[in-house]
Amino acid sequence: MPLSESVIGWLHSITLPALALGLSTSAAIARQVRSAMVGVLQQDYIRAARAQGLSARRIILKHALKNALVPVITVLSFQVTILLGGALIVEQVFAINGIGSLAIAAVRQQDIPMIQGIVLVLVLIVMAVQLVTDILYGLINPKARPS
Amino acid sequence: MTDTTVPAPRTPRPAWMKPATLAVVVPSVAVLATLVVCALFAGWLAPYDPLSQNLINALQGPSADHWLGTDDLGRDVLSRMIFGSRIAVIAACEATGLAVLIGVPVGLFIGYRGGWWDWITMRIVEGIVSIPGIMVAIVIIAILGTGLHRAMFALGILYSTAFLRLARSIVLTEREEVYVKFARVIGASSSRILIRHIFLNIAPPLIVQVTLTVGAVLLAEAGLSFIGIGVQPPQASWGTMLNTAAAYMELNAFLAVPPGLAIVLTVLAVNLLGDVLRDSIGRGVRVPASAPSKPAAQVRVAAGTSIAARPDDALLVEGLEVMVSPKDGGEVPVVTNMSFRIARGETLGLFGESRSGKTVTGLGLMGSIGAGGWITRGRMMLDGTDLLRLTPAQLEKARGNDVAMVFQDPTTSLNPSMTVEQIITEPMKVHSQMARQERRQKAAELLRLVNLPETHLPRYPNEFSGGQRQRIAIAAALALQPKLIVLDEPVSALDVSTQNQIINLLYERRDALGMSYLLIAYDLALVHHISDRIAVMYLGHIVEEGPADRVYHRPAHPYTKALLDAVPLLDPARQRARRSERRAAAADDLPRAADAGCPYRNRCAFAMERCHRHAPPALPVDGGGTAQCFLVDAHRAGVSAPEAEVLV
Repeated sequence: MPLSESVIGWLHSITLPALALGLSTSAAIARQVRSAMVGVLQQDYIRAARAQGLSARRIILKHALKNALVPVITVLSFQVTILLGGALIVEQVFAINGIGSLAIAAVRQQDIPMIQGIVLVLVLIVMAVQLVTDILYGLINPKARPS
Repeated sequence: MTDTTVPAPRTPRPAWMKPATLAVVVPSVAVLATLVVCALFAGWLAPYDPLSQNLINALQGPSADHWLGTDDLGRDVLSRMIFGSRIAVIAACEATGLAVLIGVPVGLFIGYRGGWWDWITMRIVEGIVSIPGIMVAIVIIAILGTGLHRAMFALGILYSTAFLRLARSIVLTEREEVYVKFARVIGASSSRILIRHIFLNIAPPLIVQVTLTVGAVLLAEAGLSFIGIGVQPPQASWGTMLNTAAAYMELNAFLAVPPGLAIVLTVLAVNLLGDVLRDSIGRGVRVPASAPSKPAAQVRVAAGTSIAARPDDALLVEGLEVMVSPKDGGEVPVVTNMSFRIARGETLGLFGESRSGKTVTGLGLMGSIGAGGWITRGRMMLDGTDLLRLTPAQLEKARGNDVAMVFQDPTTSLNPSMTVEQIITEPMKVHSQMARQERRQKAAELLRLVNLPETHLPRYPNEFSGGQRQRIAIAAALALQPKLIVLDEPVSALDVSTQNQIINLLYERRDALGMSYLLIAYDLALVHHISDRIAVMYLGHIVEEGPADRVYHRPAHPYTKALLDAVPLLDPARQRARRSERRAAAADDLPRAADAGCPYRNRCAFAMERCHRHAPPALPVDGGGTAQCFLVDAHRAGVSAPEAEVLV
């Protein structure tokens, strides 16, 4: 169901594929956040925040999470690449007419120019994501910013 | 001195031997063993021919004849599963083997050779990595054509990039190691160096990478076969079976269960084994113990000696006891029966060796001893309020408002992702009703107080030197004009000239604002310089206490004397002898909660018979203060004690 026809219908048709695709990635990211948080919570500045009388919730959400997200952002950009690959299969499962079905049809017909085009588009998406990641990285981590 | 020998360090058990790990390893190995047995003996194990069709019997559920039912062409699902496991094993071996065979030698070569070879190869690898993996495989399959072996060839090339980068990075680190340089110097050939010195180091991470790759290959094979460009029908693979199941989902939903479960279980087993391997190589995440909840009722006031509060007390600590639970279980007291007071505007120097309990005392005041430690008894009266009897919410209010803390290392105690303004105003935001503009003004004012320009407000901690950062930490501590500031080694991470500036700053602020300091330090000269009074800690309690000048120039306790004499000796032989004596004594040096006798007797050069029977009380010393030593009494009674040539 395309977005132009019905927003609700589109949301309805996209929910399950998105869930199928996102669940495994969310597990990978949860793992990253956990290990980063374990490291950050042992830092001195968390002890200092506790000594300032901040609530546990404020410490975790404001002081710890922002620092823990720095390594997670890097992983996130790799995850986007993996998600794009996963989308090829999820499209098949949910019979979505997307770039994945196009690629598979092209393989079957040995349509090399079409495959080249698809790869080019995917690479452009990945590069755009990497660029956004690098900018986000600078925003969230002052050490990576030119002063 | 005692003749106690140092206990031999326990050899840690290998990670895979631990019970919790075995619970993961045994089922994982069992799953993989089943898989391999099925693959090897598929022909004998399968009850039917995986390709023989029986259209009358199509799409049946599980039955006595067909344990896992039949598919759309009436083929036995169990038999197809067993033959599918053969495909899985072949796929994993082919793709992973190819990836290792291509990746490792190329990685070793370009890592060792460097230069153009390295540059060009790495750019190609980066290009491949920036395309989704399955798309790379699809492209290769588009060129080669479909089928199991071609698909696995494609995956092998794809995953070889991981092995290539692994091998290269290890070579790059190892070739700089001294022993490799040495081998080169003595004229060993390049190939010999590569094989002998580098290959041994690459083996552990390589094994981990192999398990991860096997898992990825299994998933990729299923994915490729599912979308119809891997294994081709009618051949039975778990991926093609899933494809069939998807097509007939509405007629027989059970068809998806066996191949789905098989893929999940196999990949899970491989990845869990990989995790165990990685952890036993030592790159896992260390999990800190969760904080034990401290029931408020557990804190008791020390029985007996109740010290009367004085009107000018800023802080009165009485009978404090802190327990920690070490990793191997149990409870160990780190602070026992500790009492001291700090008057308003006064600085108390808390002084002792590392692990004497001084930092724990400071953290106890802040109510943040952290995971694995808690206060079991005592009082902490801050301006008439017992900090240990506050509810968590009241305690949060007291911290920052009434007590603040400056930590030892300003490079780690300031949050790197917050600006100076955010760091300084954070306590105000939480504890006061000040408006944003007011807070900013106050922050600027505080910066001026610590002699920094207010233009520093929007900057981040990493832009400052250690001394500047410590000034920022002090400004944050001063933010709400606390009654007491705990200074935990505030200058020991700074260089000497900076130390002086910070000390003078602290002095100035204390006198201007009428605060009290609890200074925790191991440098007695520094403590003497800053403090009005000094308390010397040994094994979790105060052994001597008194005016700074008296304690520094005329120490009454043998331990204080020993610390003052602890300047290294110039004669190496004597210094070595002294050190080994100390080490032997320190081995026996554990806090004892319920033990008769003086805690210091085993290291004391003057230990008398009565010292072994009972601990000395705090006895008044001439010139002010107290010391927990019988020698103080002996002095008073006119008995001559051995003179202070202490060899501890």
